[in-house]
Amino acid sequence: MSLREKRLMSELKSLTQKTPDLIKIVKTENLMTWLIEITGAEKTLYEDETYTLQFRFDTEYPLKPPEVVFLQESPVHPHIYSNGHICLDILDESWTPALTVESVLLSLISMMSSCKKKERPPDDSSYVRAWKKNKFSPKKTKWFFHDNKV
Amino acid sequence: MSEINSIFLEQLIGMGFDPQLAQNALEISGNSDLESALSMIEILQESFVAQEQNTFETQKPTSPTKQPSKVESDEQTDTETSNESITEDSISENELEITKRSKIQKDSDDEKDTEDEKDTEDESNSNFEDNPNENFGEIGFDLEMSQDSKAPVKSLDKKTIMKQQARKIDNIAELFQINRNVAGVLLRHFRWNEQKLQEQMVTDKNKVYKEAKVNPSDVITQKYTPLSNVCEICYDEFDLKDAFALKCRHSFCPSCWKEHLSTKIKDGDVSKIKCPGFKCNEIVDEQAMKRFLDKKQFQKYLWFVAKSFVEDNPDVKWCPAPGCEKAVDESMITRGTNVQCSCGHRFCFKCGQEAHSPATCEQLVSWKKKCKDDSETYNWLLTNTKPCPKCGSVIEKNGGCNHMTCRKCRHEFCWVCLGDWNLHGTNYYSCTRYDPKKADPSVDNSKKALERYLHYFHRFQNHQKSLQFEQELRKKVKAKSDQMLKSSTVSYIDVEFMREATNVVCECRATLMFSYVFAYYLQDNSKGKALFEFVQEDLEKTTEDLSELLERPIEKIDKAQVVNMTRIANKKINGLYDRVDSGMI
Repeated sequence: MSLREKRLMSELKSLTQKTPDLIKIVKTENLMTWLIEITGAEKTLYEDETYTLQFRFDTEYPLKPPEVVFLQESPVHPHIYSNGHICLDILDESWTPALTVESVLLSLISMMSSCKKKERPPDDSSYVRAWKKNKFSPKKTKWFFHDNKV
Repeated sequence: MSEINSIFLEQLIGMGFDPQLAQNALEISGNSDLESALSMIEILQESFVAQEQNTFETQKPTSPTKQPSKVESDEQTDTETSNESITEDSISENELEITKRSKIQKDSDDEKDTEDEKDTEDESNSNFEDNPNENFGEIGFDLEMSQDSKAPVKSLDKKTIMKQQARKIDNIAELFQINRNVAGVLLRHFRWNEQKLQEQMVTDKNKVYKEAKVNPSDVITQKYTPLSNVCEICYDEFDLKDAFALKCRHSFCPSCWKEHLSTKIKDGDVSKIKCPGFKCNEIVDEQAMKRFLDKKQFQKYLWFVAKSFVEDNPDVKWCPAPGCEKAVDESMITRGTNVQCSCGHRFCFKCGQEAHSPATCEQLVSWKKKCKDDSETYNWLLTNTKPCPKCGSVIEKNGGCNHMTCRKCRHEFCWVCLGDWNLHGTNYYSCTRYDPKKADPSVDNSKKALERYLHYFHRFQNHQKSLQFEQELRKKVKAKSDQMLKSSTVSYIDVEFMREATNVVCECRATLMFSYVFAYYLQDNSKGKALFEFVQEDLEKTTEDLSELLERPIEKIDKAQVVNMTRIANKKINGLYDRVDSGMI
């Protein structure tokens, strides 16, 4: 069994045994692609809103980060593009193999919770237009992380 | 003659200079001050000596071995002579080997002519690192270097780069009694400026440590054990007995350490490989790398680190030639900012573009832009043909010197200015000079500016074209040298002067080419420009002379003359650079 499989099996096991609030595992039949729903925390702009996330783990997981995008509708947030791509440092250069699916989910919920105003990133339209041309993975994007507050 | 002029003239004559010489010098340097007149006199005298010697050599062409010491008197010649004698000594050591080789070569010649030719060509192009007794290229290289007053230098290859880096790290580690890893981080932080690091370490050690974000107590001899026996990556339990951890004591099993590090190496992301723990800034040291990586990966790691030595270090630069993995250091700069890698590529040490001295990097950028903008419109100027000034036949120049003879009407003219060649022979070569007076006074400024640009562009391009024929020239010269080798009893060394002369011609052309860029950005009518144009003109003439000597049919090639002219040309390039470097121009 490869490191990826071994690791995903144990992550899935612990996540199903003790699923944190606001998180719901939707589909994991294919071990390499997971669908997970997250709900906005109480007393935040996203309270009671539910969004679906897709995790894809390539062969280098967990040495390399998974590809994480919002499916269907994505929350309106300054770091989330309308095509579902997310600008988050731990999904890119700050990823370390010690991070897990759960830590990514918790980071996303916390990122949404600290948001003060629902708006799209300033370059949303140009980014999405570029993406529509060849549907690149968010892992191919060179992200610049300029704002750690939200 | 103006008042100032006569005062200067009297002063100069009073100093003991020849009145005619003094007057010439004053005229050329623009009558403006004594200092530039004096330097002009110096140049004039130099070129006079050179010419004198040249005629001397021409008169006695059959005495190649006696040449220099008789006429020349200044220091440079002395060093050159001594250099030559050294070279000759070293030659005699190798000569036996060489004659043997050429004999073998001759023997095999009859059988497989073409293959042999290919072989020798490969040899002369081959890497200089090979055993010197095994190829002629090495000998040629030595000769070439010893003619230049600088010591022979080699580009830094992989091994040398690693060695140099290790030496620097060892020095610092030993001097301050610190761990090699810490020394490495400190040096990288100071961009490999050992001296600066030492100074600052002496002034305030702790500040340096703080700035470079290292802890001098990071001694690896101390062994850390992981905090837990469950790996944070694969969640498997592992044996703590031979487990490894950094100072942070994050727990990873050996196999996950290995995976993590080799992934980083595969990505080439080695500047700072950290502990895989989240937000952990502990840097993985060389020992840990050695422990977990296989030999090939570890070599790759070391090479990556060595690369950062070149990239962070302002005194070392990669050779930009495609596929060349060597680096050059500052000591290899030959003239201006030009360097030549041992792969043969010539480039500017500062900007990495083609070698462009004496023009500056900024001038090159601006010139290139200008050429791109303007030459589109004046494409007709780029054509390869010119009409014969006498009969109007279209002539294409596809190599050789600028002394043209029309096939049709036998008119001899200069390719650059299209003037009668006879005028060039006796007077100083004058087609380098842009004379604003010659331009029609009725034309408006913009046209004048364009004409001025075209004047320089034309000459720039002319040399560029000539340089493009470099390969052809080399081939021709090689064919001639081979012929010489076959036809007589001379050894390889005896025809080496041809190759050397070719190198110098090419260097002259490259220098001249960019000297027009430099001149374009000099202010018209300034005294510096007058000086520069004079030196340039002088070099141009010598280049043409040398080029012509090389073009001659083989039976008319006179070694003494070529060798001498090569030396003069070399000296004149040096003179030009000296004047540019000293800020005189």
